[in-house]
Amino acid sequence: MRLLLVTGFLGSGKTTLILSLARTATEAGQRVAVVVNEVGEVGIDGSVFRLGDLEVTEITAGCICCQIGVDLVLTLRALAEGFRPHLVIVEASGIATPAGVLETLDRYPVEAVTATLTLTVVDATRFEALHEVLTPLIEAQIAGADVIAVTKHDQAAPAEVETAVRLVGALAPGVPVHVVDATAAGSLSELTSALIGDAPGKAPATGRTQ
Amino acid sequence: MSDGHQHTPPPSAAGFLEPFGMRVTLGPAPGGFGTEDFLTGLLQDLAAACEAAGATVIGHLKCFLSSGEAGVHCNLTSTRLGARCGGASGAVPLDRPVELDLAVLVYGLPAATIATLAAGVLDSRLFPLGIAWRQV
Repeated sequence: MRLLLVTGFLGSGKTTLILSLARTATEAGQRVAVVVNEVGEVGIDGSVFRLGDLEVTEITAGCICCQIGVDLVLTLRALAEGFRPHLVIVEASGIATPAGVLETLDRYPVEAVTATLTLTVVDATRFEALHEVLTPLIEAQIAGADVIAVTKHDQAAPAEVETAVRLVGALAPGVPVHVVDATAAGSLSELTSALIGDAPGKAPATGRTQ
Repeated sequence: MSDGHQHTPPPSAAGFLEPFGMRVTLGPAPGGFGTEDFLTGLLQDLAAACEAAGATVIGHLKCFLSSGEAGVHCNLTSTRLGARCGGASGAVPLDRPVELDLAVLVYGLPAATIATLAAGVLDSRLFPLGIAWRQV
């Protein structure tokens, strides 16, 4: 069971991207589960995933990067014993840092997890502005990434995309950066291949192996 | 309503984040009611109201309108770009009550202030159409 942790600021496009990735993985024969952790009691993303006929578990009332990290561990163990997915995609809340989630998973390992990959999603239309006022959070999200997706290139001005890619590259040297429109399957093929592989149980090229 | 979320993000110039969420029931809508137009307008008005009230960062405004069998979702991350919707808006029957979930994640405004703004925007959008709403 491989784990794809998807982080990124509020509204960066995590849900849209996960929907596309999950559809592609499912069509390739993988059994996919989504675990979603939202900020706030009224969860919208879980409903959106269910609309897409996905196996969804919602974790609420806190952040999986800190006080309810153990809920994620218990959820993963339950999935491994019950649904037995090839791939679990965890959507972290928009204010979570990858390090917080990964520390919990290191402290309480889930045996069934064979590899973990962290994707950080960056909104091209407002990355520069957000980086300016939310520097510690944005930089922590970038720093924890194995792969970065710069989204909304269809809505962003070319200069905004260019700035986002340049800033992200400076913050995470050597980390692969993909510029995508999550609503257009054609722009996702390279990212999809890097993240989920193309066959059940096949590990992607990068990430941490347990 | 505030959800009592205890997570404290790293300190920033944007200030504090108090998540706000509400679930409301909307009464039957008149014929010709444009679901996506209503939802995008609702989010756009609410984001503008938050900015006018002093929000430092519009994080994410999201909503999900559901009849149980079908649903439509919309979200907004900036007033410049406006809201976008997905799902099957045409499949949500509006001749009966439907549920609307609304989540507002903005920096710099207390949840109580957002609650007042949300109620005002729902009133201004729904009252002229004769559609009743109540929080559940």
